[in-house]
Amino acid sequence: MSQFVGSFPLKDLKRRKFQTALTITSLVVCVSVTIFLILFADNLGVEVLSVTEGKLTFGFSEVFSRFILLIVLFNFAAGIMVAYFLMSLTTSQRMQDIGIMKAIGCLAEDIHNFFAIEILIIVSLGCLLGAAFGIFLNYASIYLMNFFGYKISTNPVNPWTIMLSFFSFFLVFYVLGMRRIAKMARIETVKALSPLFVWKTMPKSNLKLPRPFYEMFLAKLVIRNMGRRRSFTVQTLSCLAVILALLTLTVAGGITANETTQSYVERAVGKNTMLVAYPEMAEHFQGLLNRFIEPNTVKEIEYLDERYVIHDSAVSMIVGIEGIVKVDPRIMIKETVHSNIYIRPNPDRPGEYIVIGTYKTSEALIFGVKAESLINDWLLLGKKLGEADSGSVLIGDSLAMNLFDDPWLQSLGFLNSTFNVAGICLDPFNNGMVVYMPYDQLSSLIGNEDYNILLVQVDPTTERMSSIRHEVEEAALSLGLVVVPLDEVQTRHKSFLSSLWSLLLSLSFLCFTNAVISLVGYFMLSIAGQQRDLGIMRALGANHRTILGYILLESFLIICTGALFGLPIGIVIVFWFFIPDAVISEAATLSIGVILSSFIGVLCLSSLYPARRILKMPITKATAKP
Amino acid sequence: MLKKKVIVVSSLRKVYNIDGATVEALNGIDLEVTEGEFITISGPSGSGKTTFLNLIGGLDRPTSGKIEVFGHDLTKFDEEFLATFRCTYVGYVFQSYNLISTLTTIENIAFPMQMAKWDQEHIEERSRRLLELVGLEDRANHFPSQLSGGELQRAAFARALANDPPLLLVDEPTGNLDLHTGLKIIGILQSLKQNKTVIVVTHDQRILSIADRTLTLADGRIVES
Repeated sequence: MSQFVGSFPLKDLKRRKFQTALTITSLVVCVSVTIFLILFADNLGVEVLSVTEGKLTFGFSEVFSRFILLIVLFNFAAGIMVAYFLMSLTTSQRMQDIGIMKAIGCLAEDIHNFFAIEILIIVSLGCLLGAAFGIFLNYASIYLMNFFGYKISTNPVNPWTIMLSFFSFFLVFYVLGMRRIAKMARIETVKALSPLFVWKTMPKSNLKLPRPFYEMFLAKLVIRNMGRRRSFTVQTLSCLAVILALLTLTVAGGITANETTQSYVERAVGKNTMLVAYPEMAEHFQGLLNRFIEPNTVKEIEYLDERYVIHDSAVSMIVGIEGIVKVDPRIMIKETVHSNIYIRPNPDRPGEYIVIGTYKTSEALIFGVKAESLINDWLLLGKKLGEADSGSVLIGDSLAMNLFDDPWLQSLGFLNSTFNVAGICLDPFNNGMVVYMPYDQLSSLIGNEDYNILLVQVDPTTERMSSIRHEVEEAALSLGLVVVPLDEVQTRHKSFLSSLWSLLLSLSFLCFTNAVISLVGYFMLSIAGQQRDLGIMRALGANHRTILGYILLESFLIICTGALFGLPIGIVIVFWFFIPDAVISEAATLSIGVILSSFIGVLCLSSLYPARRILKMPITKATAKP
Repeated sequence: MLKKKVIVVSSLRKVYNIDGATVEALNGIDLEVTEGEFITISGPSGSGKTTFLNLIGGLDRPTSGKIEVFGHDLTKFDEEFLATFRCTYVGYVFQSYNLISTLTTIENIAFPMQMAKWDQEHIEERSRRLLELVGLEDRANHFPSQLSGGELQRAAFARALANDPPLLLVDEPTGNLDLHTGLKIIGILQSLKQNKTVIVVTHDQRILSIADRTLTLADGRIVES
């Protein structure tokens, strides 16, 4: 018996090539997507649940983190469901074999061991290949991004992350598989040999449909069949609902997040904006702005050096140009800032105090700005900087994350002064390590009454954009200043975000693979169970079109029912939890609809593969099955 | 008056290839059947009786040779044509009944008529009449799993007659039945004898005795006619 247990499982798996491959592929997809997401996020500077310094500001990272976390969770759930479903499917088809094994005297323990080895082989292969493919996907994606001009450094793969993911999946899949096998090995011999039990079919379907629908002959057959294989129909529906929710989350979430984050950048940098500064300062400014998309070291400069001073006369000259909406003169310096600890009496315990936050320091860029001429329209938490807000500052999201436990209670200190945090803004400049404060206050603190940066915004409705730019350039040139259109920098930022989201969107194909696998699995089972009935139908004159129509109808009903649950779940998660203040254009909404409909269409068509397999089978063979 | 030849079979061969081994199921069969003839085929197990029936019914394709049924050379047509051919010309009673498990008795009987796209009223009326013919009126809404062997066989007969086909192929109709049910089936066969061409695979002496002609197959050849 030991030889039987030892050698047969491998032979058995080889004989059931298609089903074995289907189960392993589903495991590979599930494990690889999770590992890829974790590794890729780590390389980007976005970790699942936490954020590291590097690229992207905290606010942007958080959007990516939430997205990745949601996908990892859903992918994990979907993968487990699909894998469990396929294992159930594989083992259910063996029910009769188990009955025969038992009938000829095989012990339950031997049957258990036989299938345990099979599960072990499938799970080990699936998890190993999945881990390898996940690592490969990570390197391939980074290579691809760098090939297109983005500088993403490759962090060494953390073996513990891989091990943890591998063993979590291995354990879950193995335990679920063994649970199913333990159940099967206990089945009475007579039951295992009964065709009713093998397919979990009911003699009759209790599904009652409205009369007109019931009149449709094929629909009647399909509904009955789904009802009779209730157990598997429900499992397939659950799998499809989760997978379609994941698909919606990936597609709708990815496209919406892409548009929303791009709008954050546009608002933060300002549309139709030009930078006017002395060449060295202009280059320095661009370097700081580009820190959002690549980790770069910007050459240190002395901000208050005479060489960079822009006088009021230059401002007046540019303000006078027709078509200029705003001129935003600023003074920019670099300082070490620190967070202050907030201490307050404990209301529950008189005499005791509550301490909030710790003393932390960081380098940050400090802008002295005039509130009335501010160009930026950041996504803001808190309130805008007003003229009367002396003693208050606006801080960048990364600075808020790095220094504060509670920025609304703690205060920020620099230049021997203390400031309250009025608001936190999502700002790509210097990767969110910025402070904005009233110009007059900074000016008096540093004893400097000039500017070193000018931001100029042109009327977006004007048709003279290039001539205005030319005029500004001429005025600037006469003073030795240069003009840098920030729209170009902004375009690079947006295309960086776009490529990140596109990469994450490509994950939808992996989710889709899982959906196809579970659906093809269902139809393999469903069609195998109906092989004889379909053969008889053909023998009685049903042509290929009728049989294909029958199977397409079944897949359409299954997918639509799955979509009825999955799509709304995905939409609710995207717009209520993931991006509550989403910015989405009509074109993007349309493309979400088109992509999801195409996926559903292709899913329906995927059921034709098992259908074609059965149609290729000779009628005599199809009807010969007992 | 000279009767019309409805089946012409010549040099018919069917070879199966099973895992590299060649099994010759039929080896050069020649046969002519005239309209309204009642033929029985007998022979030992594995002699090719069912294969021969399947080939005449357009369920399978020969390796070589010619099968002409009602003027159609079945070897020349595609699967779509054969589906229409089976639906229109042939009523087949399978050895294992082959009722569709998800349909009730009456729906099983109606199935070939649905495929032939008859109108619903006609389908319902004819299905009821056929149920009466085989004595299964009270089993109309039962599923195959709820019927006995004899009832399944009678339902299969009723279904074979659904489209009123000119050719009836019956495979071992009494093999699995008790004496009483067997007699009922023979009664049905006798009633069909008058207006249809019938070919029955059987060893039942009672059926052999009512046949116009009896063929004996052995090793894929007709050894006695």
